[in-house]
Amino acid sequence: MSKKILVVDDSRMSRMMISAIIKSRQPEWEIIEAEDGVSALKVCESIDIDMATLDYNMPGMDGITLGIELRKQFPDAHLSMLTANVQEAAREKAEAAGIGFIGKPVTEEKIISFITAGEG
Amino acid sequence: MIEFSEIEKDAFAEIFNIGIGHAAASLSQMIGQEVKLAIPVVELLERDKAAVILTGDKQGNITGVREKFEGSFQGETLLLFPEESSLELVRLLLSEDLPLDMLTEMEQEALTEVGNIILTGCLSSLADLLKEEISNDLPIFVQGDADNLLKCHEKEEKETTVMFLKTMFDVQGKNIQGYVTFLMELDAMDLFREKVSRLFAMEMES
Repeated sequence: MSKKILVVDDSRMSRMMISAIIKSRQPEWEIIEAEDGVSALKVCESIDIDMATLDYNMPGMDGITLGIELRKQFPDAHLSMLTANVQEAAREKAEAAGIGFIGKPVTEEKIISFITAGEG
Repeated sequence: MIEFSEIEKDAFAEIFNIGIGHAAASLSQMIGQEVKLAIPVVELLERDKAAVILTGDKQGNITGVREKFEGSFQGETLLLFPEESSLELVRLLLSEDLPLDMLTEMEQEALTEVGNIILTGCLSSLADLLKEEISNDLPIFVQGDADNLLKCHEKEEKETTVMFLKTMFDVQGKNIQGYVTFLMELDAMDLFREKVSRLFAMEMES
C-alpha cells in the first residue's frame, strides 16, 4: 500500500539522501520534503502523513517540538528523529514524546529499517 | 597564568579522543573509507597562536564548519579542511556522476551537513561522558585563512587565551585531510576542567 512520508531536515543533502533511499525501495510512495518545522506543519494542513523523519537542530522550531505537534495531529504515524544530536538527553526527550530515534549519518540500512517498521 | 599539568592534558586528550573517535566513525560510515586519526594536541594559548599551529606548514585557504556550543561550559568547535580536500570529500559523499556545476553548487551544503554530523556527534559523546546536556547552534560554513577562522566574530580577541584542542584526520587512499578543533575561553575552561577531573576521580574510585 502506498504511503506518504514526510522528510524534515534543513540540510538539502540529507533530504536528498533520505528521499533517494526511500524512492529506491518504495518508488510508489509519496515523499514530501520540508526544510523546517513551520513548513512541515503547513504541508500537513493538507496532507495526512503515515511516516516522518525529523532533524533535531533546525532554524526556528526544533525537531522534538515538531514531533510533539505531529504526534497530536497523527497519533498513529510512524515518527522518528533523524539527527546528529545523539546525546542521551535528546534520546530521552524523543522517547518521552513517543518518537523514535535514529542517529546520523544517514545510511541505507537505517532508512530501510525505519520504513520497514512503519509499514506495520 | 593558568597551566595544565601533564595528567590534566592527558585527561583532556582522552576525553577529546572519545568524541573524535565517534566523529571518525561517522565520517567513515558516510564515505565508506577508513579514517585515521592523529594524536590530539591540547594547548593553552592565544587565539592568533592557535591559528599558526592549526594548519602547520600548510598554506592557503581552508574551508569548514563552525558550531558554537553551550551547556555548563561553552565554546566553539570547528571542522576544517584544506580547500583541495573539500571537493574531493563532496565527490565521495554524493554520487560521482553528478555534473561538476551541480557538485560545486552542493559543496557548501554538503560540507555543512558533514560538519554538523561530525561536530554534533563529537559534542554528543562529550556531553554523555561528562553527564551534561550541551546544546549547539546551527552549523555555519566558513572559508578563509586560519587566522580569520579562529577570530571571535563578536569582538577582537586575538590575544585572548583559549584552550585549544586539535586532531588531524586522514582518509586513507584519498586526498582528504582535515582537522577538528575545540576552543574554550578561560572561564568556561575552568568548569570543563572541573567536570573532567570529577569524571576521572569517579572512574578511579570505581
